[in-house]
Amino acid sequence: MKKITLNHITKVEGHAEVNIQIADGIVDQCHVHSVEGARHFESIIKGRKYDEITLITSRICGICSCGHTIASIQAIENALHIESTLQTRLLRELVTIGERIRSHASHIYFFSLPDYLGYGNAVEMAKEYGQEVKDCLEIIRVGNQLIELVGGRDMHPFVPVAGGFTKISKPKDFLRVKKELTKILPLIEKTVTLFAGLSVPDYEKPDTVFLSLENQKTFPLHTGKIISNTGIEFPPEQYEEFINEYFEKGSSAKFATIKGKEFMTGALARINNDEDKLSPRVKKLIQKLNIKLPSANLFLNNLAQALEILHWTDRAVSILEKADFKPEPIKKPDFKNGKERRGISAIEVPRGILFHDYTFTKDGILKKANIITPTVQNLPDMEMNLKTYLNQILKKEPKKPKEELVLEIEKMVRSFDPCFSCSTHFLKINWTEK
Amino acid sequence: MPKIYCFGNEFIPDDDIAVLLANKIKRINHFEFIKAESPMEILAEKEELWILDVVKGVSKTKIIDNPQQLKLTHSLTCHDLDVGFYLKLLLETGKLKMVRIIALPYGEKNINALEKEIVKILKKK
Repeated sequence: MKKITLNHITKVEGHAEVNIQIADGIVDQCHVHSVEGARHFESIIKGRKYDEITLITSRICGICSCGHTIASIQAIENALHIESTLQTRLLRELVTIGERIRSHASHIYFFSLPDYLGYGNAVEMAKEYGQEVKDCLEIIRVGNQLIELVGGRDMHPFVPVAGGFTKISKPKDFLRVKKELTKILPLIEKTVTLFAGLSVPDYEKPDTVFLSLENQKTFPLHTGKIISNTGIEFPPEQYEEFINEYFEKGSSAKFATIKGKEFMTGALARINNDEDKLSPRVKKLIQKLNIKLPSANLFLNNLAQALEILHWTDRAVSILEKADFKPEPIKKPDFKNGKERRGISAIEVPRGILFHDYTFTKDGILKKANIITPTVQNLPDMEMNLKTYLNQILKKEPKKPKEELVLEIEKMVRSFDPCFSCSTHFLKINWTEK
Repeated sequence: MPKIYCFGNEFIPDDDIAVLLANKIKRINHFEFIKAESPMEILAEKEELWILDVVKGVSKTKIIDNPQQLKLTHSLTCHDLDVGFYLKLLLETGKLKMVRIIALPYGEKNINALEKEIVKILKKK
């Protein structure tokens, strides 16, 4: 029995470990465990009034704070029957687009790209690839500007609340950020070209279930039903009938399957399921670069993230071209009906579908909450992919050095762009060979 | 007007002094003091960057302008991408030519005395 321990898989969000056991040259066990302390956000918000919850749940993640903010607000509004205005919905789109730009650009350039170019980290890579890193820093800067413009600050936005926005920036500031977004479009096109040109492993898991939100009109973000490439379809309110959350011994993260099977959610799932709704510029680039979609090669998730940066920047520019945002009154809930109420929200965040499910007392006090992050959903699929991929490598190269195998494992984990901090949640790898 | 980004956390006693100084000083000569909310704020700067922060191992207020003295923390996740990480990238890519850190001694609490020392340092600039 061979046992390999990778004490830390770095350059992912949070801390986790992977245990791999190989018997007679075949991987027979692969487990990914979060080794972070449990965070109990669902309990922390219990007993809080509806308008105190969002600022707390935003703290689940510094990277996806906008996503958690909007998912939380939508769940509250669904429960308390607050109908948002079109302006509010557009502003919510903009704040999450800013976050999408920042999160994807940081991950693909700082964490994934060094793997493919042969560097230990982004600072080492910057010595040779200075222009690429400069492009990335500029994309991140502009993404931040957009979040700050709409959300009040670039992390943990406090301006979006249930019922609307407490402050609207000045028109000249919307115009300034629109110009900045337009200016980074060529840099993002270069990013897509760079990632499309990387030599990714020739690997596919053909039966992968790709799960995403689906909105009939636009590329999915905040609304729609949940669909898969295998024909699964359900409204977010029925998530408990389809998605099974469970714990595994030794892990502080939860895991999720759909009807008993692992699935993938995130950029590649969204693009595989909804390629036709990407912006014309993205479609043209996919054609020009001969990118084959849909794909079951999850190493292409980072390319999908680059495509999404382009799509969402196009979308932000198009919203800002038509927008004339003005202050609106904050809509308040009506507690007259005296009933307990439940609201469920499912939105697409950088790493996949995020669920917030709240039940309130008749007075608007939170009684029960359930939050399912994308990494929780991706963990079983990550385990299955690691097992399948390693077996594929070992079949071709049974004597492949352990160090090289470890790098392949890390590359695969980073392709998923997991956030262990949020799934409760650095990666330590224990490898056993018989 | 050159900006001096003041980093720290006003709720952590040993890390609050630069932020308290930003609140108090606002401006010295042509320098504007900005309370930095996020490490990514420095991405907007070109050529030269000024920072005010508490530095361990410094016994009196001084300027640190040798980038080799910046220690890079081990970045494991996006949650670890701190000012040091972005500074190294900005210097490595040439977007920034110079970083000047006004280093405040760790544990020093006399805000008026620190202000006087900063005024003295900036008068020469």
